[in-house]
Amino acid sequence: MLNAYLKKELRDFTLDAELTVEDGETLALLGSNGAGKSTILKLLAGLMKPDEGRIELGGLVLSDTAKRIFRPAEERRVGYMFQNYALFPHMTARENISYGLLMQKLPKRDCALRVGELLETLGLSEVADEPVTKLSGGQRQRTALARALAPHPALLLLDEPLSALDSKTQERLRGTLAGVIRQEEIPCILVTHSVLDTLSVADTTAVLERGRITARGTPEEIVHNPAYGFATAENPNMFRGSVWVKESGAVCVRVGCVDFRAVTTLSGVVTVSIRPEELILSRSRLESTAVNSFAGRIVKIADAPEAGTKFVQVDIGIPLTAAVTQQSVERLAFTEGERVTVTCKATAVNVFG
Amino acid sequence: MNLQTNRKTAARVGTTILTAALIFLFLLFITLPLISLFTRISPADMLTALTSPSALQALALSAATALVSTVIVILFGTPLAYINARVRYPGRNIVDTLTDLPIVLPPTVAGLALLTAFGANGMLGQYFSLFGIKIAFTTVAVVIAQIFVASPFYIRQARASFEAVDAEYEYASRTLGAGVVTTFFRVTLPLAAGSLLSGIIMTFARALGEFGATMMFAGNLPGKTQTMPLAIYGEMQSDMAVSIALSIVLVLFSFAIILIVKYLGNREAAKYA
Repeated sequence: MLNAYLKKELRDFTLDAELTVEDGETLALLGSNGAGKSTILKLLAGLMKPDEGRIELGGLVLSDTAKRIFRPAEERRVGYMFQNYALFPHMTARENISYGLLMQKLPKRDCALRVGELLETLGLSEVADEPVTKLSGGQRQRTALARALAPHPALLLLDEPLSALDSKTQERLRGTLAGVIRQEEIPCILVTHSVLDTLSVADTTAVLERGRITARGTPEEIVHNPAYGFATAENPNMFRGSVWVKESGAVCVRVGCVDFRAVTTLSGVVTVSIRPEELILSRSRLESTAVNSFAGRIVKIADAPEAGTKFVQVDIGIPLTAAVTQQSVERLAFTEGERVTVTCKATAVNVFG
Repeated sequence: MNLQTNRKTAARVGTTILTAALIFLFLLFITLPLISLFTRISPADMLTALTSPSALQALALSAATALVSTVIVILFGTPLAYINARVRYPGRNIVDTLTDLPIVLPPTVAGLALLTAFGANGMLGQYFSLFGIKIAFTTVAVVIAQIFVASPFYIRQARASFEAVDAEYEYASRTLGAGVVTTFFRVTLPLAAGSLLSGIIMTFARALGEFGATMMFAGNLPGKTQTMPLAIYGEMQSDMAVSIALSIVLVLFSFAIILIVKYLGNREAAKYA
């Protein structure tokens, strides 16, 4: 378990945060650029000194300003994955991953075994002996993850682990990342500004604003709380759900008490995203080829970011937001509290690992 | 074609010719004296001159002293260059300026300064004299003069080389369990190596060419303090052939050095791009 209280004077504000992360728990630190997220990671890793604070990891005090304790970074057993990976450019993927084990003076055989196992799990065996400069973005990301995990760290820190990748690769690796992290029985902190990363990887979420943690909760609670504006920033319709297959063979994703029909080959826990423009609102149930149709009540009608359109939030058991033109809202005379039907096609339900 | 475009074309041609002429004249100015050196001696005479005892002595002494001073500069200059590249501390600019100073200082000033410090009656030298240790006008003085004059070439380049290595690589190494020293040798040094090598070569070349400070502080004693540049000056009166032969050696060597450094620089730029 990680227990940390950190205070540090930064250029524009004071970082002042308290964190608790259980073994096997992944905490997502969500916040805009310059909120102090990376600073927290650097303080935890011992790459920066706090002005005031205490860090305790698995019963071991890593740092305590009151008692003048400061363990240097190399004695903290912290796995750190840097935003741009910081892979050693003069080494191969295998040498990068072996580095931490080499420092532990592990017998060569054990070292090779552990590295081989990681290369295998992360699908890097074929490029293991390539210099890292020759690897693709996704391969570098996995190498960096393997390097951080190799020496069996007591704490895993991930700084924007997917942000340097194109969206296709991000989609592919999000599942890998979530799977690998879940297997580790250590506290993990993920710094991100991506709602999708938070929903798919994190167990708990904390919002960091100007150096202070302003909210804490499950990823769903935070992401869908309009006060933080995360959901509306990227997409208001993002949920965590689980895939199951009906007797009829239809693939469904269950979010809360709602089943969405979807097209996906994924299984288990997934993140669902539906673009508000893909949702159709009607007074009565539509007879159409669209298979997803839910009855609900209009909770709120608000201006959408795009001019001339409205966001209509409908409660169908979960809050679902549809983007509708101003004209349509007026023409159909939708009002808050009214009963409506929401419809969309199975292909409009995007499923991420 | 109207008059105006004609004029423009003429102006353009004129500019081109003028530029080419300036470049040509300048290159001629640099190469002509060098070429004329080569015309003054036949290859056979050059070989005899170079194998003369005074030339061989100067060559050996130059190679040995420049090598020793380069090694000492690396030993003492590397920690300084690294700290100045990575740590912000009050007075860093002053320290930087101080280490750069010998580049612009006239070598005679350097020689005089060294004499006042290490000479028999110098600030430090007087104490050495008590123990019968003499520094000025010995081979040690040659090395000291070379270190004084050549060290900025290494320290400047080393600082830039370390600055070019992203600190994040060092952070990564630390979190993986490597201490500061291990990190330096396993990560920073290999990444800075090519660029450091350029600095080392330049420092060696500068030490090899050192004349003024050596002359004042070490004197011109054949076999003891007479390095190649001093031999060139000393032999001019007695054996011009030796002077010319040694000069040619230095010209060729310097040309090769700069070529190598340029090549290293290009390779470094392409390596981790």
